Formats: sequence, C-alpha cells, structure tokens
Amino acid sequence: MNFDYNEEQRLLAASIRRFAEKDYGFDARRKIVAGPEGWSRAVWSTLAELGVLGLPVPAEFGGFGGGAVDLVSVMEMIGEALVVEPVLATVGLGARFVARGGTATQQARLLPAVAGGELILAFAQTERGARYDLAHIAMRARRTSEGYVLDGDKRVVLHAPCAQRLHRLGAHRRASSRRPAASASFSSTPAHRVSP
Amino acid sequence: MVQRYIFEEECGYAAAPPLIPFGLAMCAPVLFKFGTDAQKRRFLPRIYRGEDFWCQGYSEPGSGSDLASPANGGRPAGRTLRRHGAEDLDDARTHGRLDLLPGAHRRAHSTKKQEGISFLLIDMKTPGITVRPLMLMDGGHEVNEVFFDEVRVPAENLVFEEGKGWTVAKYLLGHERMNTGRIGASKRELGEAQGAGCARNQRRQTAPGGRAFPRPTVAGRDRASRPRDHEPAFPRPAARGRAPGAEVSMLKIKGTEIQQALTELMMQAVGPFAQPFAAEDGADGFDALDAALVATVAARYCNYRKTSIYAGSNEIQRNIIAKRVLDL
Repeated sequence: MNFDYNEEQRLLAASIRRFAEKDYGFDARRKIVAGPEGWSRAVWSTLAELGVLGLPVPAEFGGFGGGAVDLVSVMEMIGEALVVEPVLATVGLGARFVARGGTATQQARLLPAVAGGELILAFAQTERGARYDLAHIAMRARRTSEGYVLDGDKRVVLHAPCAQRLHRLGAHRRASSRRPAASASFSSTPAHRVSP
Repeated sequence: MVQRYIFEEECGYAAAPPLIPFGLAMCAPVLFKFGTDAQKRRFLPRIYRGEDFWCQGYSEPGSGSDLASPANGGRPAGRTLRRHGAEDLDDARTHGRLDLLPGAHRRAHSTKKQEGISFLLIDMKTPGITVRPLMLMDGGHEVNEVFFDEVRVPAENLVFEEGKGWTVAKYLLGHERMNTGRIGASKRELGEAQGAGCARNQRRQTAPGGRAFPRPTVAGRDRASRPRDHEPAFPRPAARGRAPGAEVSMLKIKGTEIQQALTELMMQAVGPFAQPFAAEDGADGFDALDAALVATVAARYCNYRKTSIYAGSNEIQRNIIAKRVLDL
C-alpha cells in the first residue's frame, strides 16, 4: 500500500509551508492572535488564493474536488504553522458536509462562496452531556411554512463567533425509531445567538 | 522528613492549596545544612512564618537543562559581591513579594564546569535587578527573566564557601525533587479521570470499553495507577538525616511520567469539552465533572509538559541513576 502523497499534494503542501515561513512566522502569528478578532482576514484571502479553501469543493462550484487525503496533506501544514484561521471549521467540516450531503441548491449557494473566501462556516454538533456520542442530539427542529425553527443549544462550536452560517444538527423523532434521525439545518447570523 | 512527606501527600490527595516550596522545602533545608548561624537566625524564622517569598535562579539563556553552566559574573567588592548577567526561568511569582533569590554565579572560568559557582541569597529589591515576566503556554505566569546589572550583594549572603555553590545547589535540588513526585495529587487525579471516563451520559454510554472512550487510555490508566510502588523507599534515607539521593531521581521520573499520563487521560476523557480554556468561556457542557475542573484540563495538560524538564530533566535523572545506583 502506498501512503506517499502524490506530486500535486506535495506541491500544495509546499506552497502552504512557503506562505507560513514567509508571512506566518511566530511573531506575525502572535500579533494576529492578540488582535481584536483573533484571526486575520488577509490570511484568509491568501488561503483562498492558495486553493486551500476550495480544496474539497467540486470543480463545478469553483473548487478542486479534492478528497480526504488531499485535505490531510494540507491540514498537516496548517497544523505545523499553528494557523488560527477557521480552516478546519469552514473547509474540513462545513464545506465537506455541504459537498457530501447538501442539495444542489445548497451547494450552488454556499460552496463557491467558501472557495472564494467570502463565507466562513461553523459546524454545531456537540451538545451538553454528549461527550463522544455523536448521536446524542436533543435540539429539536420544527418544520414551518418558512423553514425550520430550532430549539436547543450547542456547545464547543469551533469558530462559531466568526462564522456567517452555522450548520446545526437538529433531531426529528420518528415514532417507529428509537434513534433520533439527524438532519441538518442552515441558518444565517441574525437568527441565532452565540455566546463566547 | 517522613512526617512532612505524609502531610504533603495528604494535602495533595485532599486538593488542599500546596505550600509554596521555595522557602519551606528548598531554601530552609539548605540554610539548615550550609547556612551560617547569622543566616539561620535571620532567614529561618521568616521562612517558617511565611514572611519571605523565595524564588530560585539557576538557568541562564542558552544553557538548556544544564544547571551547571552559569555565565553570570560576580566579583568581590569589599563587603559586597557584584553580580551582572541575565537569568532565565526563575520561579519568581510577581503576585507575592519577591524577596531573596538564591543564585549560582561563576567567578572565574575553571576546568570543571561545576567549580567556581557560588550560592547567593539576593534581595529582589536590590537596585540593578530587573524582572521581566515570561508568559507560559497555559496563559499563566510563574517564571520570569531576571536581569542583573552591577547588583551589589552583601558578602554575608554567600551560602557555604565561595566557589562551592554546586554542592549547595545539588543539595537543594535533591529537596526540590522530593516535591516533584506529587503522589497524593496524582492519586486524586486518577480518581477524577476514572470518574470522568466511567460516568454514563444521558444515553447511558460510559467512556471506557465503549466506543465513547478510546482504547489507548486504558494503558494510560494502568501506568497511572501504580504510584504506590515508588513510594516507601525514598523518604527513609532522608529520615536518617542523609540528603535525598538517587532514589529521589526515581521518584521524580516516575512521578512526573504519571502526572503527564494523567493529564493526557483527562484530555481524552473530556474530549471536545477541553477546548474552552477557562471557566468563563462556558466549559459546562461536560456533565460528568465539575465545570471548574473541566475548565482546567487543557491548561493543565499544557502546563504539565514542564514536569519532565524541571528540577533537573528526566534525562539528567537517568544519568544520576546510571552513575550512582547502577555504577555505569
């Protein structure tokens, strides 16, 4: 079995390392962390230009259609440089979630904006008392004529304060099933309250 | 010595606030053994009553873990010794009063690096001393850089003989290592980790054994559950009036490995809820443990990386064991 990265993956990783060495050194990073937002929009634009943000986004939506291994080669460099920008939340969790499970309309609306660096996502999964149990979901999603109404709260949502959209898993309980069926809801900033 | 050890173990087990060791457990034994009568009369009652806060300055920039390499210059000047240079990693706490600093300084270059070091007690308010805080990766402040610029230290503050400071320093470090085992606290933390790992969540899932708790932690728990094996041997020589020796090196290695294993175990038990770094960040989602405790898990994990390095790194402890126990 061959676990080596291919040429493309190596080149992309090398370009991120070059960026990190040049513009994301220890002192530069420390300034960013100490800033009002704790992360840098300029760095975010650079990551978009480097192709990091569009990596798992299908080509038809302005991305590169990369898979998990492509993302791993990039995330290694992101980790090595201690990048604080919301790459994992937006690209690894948010964009991949939409790319794999979103409707065509949702994909067309969200993915090009992620690839272009204009949209930051967060993935609200964990709830109080859930621990490692991914199916532990008490939040309720109620269908209305205008969409979904959510009731409940989520904890430790990575990068929620800077996200423009949250993906939340709400549960619709079916009478026949003991396992709640998870479904995703999208809501935009004004509809939710985030406390740090 | 045995009584003090038992007292400290019980304090750790009960999560009582620890006694700051720098005066009581480190400077006091040194003054007992090496201090002049005048030094004993002057400093010991103040240590006993908690009136002086002590810190220690060993490491210097560029020395790494080599405590025997100070480049700090000091020279006799009449009744005082002058001292200049910069020191790193002093355990000086700014929220206490910084009073005296037992310091090692090199007078002249000599063939053996441990020679020529002298041990000084220095009032931290002496003109020429600048303290610059070093912030740690857990966000806390324990250590500082301390700069000495032509600092005048009264000659009566020299402990033991000029140039024989390494003998004093080694004796102090033996006592410091006694504090690094922290067996009582580790037993309590093992209980907390087990509580966190075994408690059922609302869907009645427990952590260990189930998918909810990753397997490698079981090995971590086994490693952490054997501190008692290393307990009884080491306070005995000390009880007979000998300086803590190589047996303390074993305690230091094993004790700090257990401490680090426990912080890793807690990180795994608490999982994503370890992300908030302080209680005010709302770390109340993990319901099997007190929120205030959950809020310290990540900071403790970061902070405890130091334990295998401080008080003489564990590699240095292994060298001591190799030389003094195994005769290698």
